[in-house]
Amino acid sequence: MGDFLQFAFLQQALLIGVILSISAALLSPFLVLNQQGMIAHGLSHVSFTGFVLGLLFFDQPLIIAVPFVVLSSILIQYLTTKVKLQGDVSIGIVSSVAFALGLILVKTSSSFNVSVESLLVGNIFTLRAGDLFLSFVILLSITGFIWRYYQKLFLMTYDENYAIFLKIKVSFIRYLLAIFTSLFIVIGVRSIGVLLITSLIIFPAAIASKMSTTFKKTFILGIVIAVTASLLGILIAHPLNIPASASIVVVYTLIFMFSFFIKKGGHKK
Amino acid sequence: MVHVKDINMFFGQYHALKNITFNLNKGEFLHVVGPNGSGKSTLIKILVGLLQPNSGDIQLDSSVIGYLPQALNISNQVPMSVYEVLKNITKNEADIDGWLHMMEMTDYKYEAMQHLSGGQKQRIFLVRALLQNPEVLILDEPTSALDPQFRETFLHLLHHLKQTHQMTIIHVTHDLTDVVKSNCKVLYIDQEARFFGAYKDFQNFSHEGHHHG
Repeated sequence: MGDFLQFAFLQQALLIGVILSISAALLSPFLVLNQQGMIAHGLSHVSFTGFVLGLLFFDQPLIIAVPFVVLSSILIQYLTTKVKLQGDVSIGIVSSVAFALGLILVKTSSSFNVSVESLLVGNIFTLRAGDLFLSFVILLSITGFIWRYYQKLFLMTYDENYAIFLKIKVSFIRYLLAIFTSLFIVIGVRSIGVLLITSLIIFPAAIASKMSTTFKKTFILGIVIAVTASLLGILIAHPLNIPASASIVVVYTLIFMFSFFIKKGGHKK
Repeated sequence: MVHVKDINMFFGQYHALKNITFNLNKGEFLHVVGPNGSGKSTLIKILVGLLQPNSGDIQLDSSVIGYLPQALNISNQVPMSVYEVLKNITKNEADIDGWLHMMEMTDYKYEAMQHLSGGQKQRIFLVRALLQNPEVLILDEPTSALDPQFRETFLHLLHHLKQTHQMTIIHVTHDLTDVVKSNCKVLYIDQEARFFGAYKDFQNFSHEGHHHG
């Protein structure tokens, strides 16, 4: 294992994996426990088209992908809060329209020469130092956002009406949450891929909430689980030559199954 | 203290509330009753600012309102402790301890909400409302889905609060057996206000067969 870790690209993959998994775990409880987890799924599909557009017109696809996904997240929130569509309907419409547009562009553009599979599955082993830097910036931004709004996000997660009653700017915070989710997705998609990036958002809170009796424990345990799953997943993926995203999901699934045998802590009345 | 004048609320073509008007003085206890779908919860949501009426005027001389929503609207899926719920509202430990003591919930301060019974949860959410130090306390069917014995205890608590803290209380219920004290006021609504007045007069009104709730 020691020799194995001497590969610089593997060290970098592990570092990016940890940074991305912590970023996702920070967002996870506020999305998953509030039935908002599928927004990540929708935005990952949107990010596919963002990257296709970016690759067609620029050397740096993020120049298009970032604003494209952020604007889509704002559109989803707008359709839900102002047009009063159900949340999953808004996500379904925006993501499928965007994805369809991306597929049309891939098929019809002669200048598109990037493998679609690389976007769908991602590759954490071929990233550059710039990706590491961007991941770190995203982690810092998401940490700042959660730090600033933790108490308000917590209240919105378990009782949104009460948050509105207390005159908390629920709609504004929802937009921010969607924007930070979209930033995570767009940066994470090159490592984890369009198809499985959602799992990084869904699993931490889904597992941790089964094992915790308090919100804080759910939050912290989610981060610990996320780091464990990404480290193990990447270390397994490399020698087996399988996508890291897939092996991370397998590790998560095993932890998820294991969590059913763990009794929640705390004393019963 | 509470002045509500000519509230009208439409949902599309449906006229959910018609010209609702009532006034309450400080320390009065109002039960809002009416059949299912009569607009009780809509009225409460307007009073606490969750809905904007199409027309009408609401004046609450006191700026501080405490609100206990229907238990159904609070997620049961989120792991959280009693302390997290209350600390979310105030940093004042003495206030938290004081209200928990009054609600006989001191032993549950660090308990998981998911371990509490429906009645205990409602007491914690009542503490959450009281931590605002409200002068007007608004409760939306707080005892629905609770066993009758607890209902009685809970209402007793409310009357105690009214007396000890001079709170004005607006309590929505669909169950008329909740209306137990004769010194209360009653607002009976079925889209429009069919009765507003003292409980003893309401008894005559209901015996005359005006309501079928």
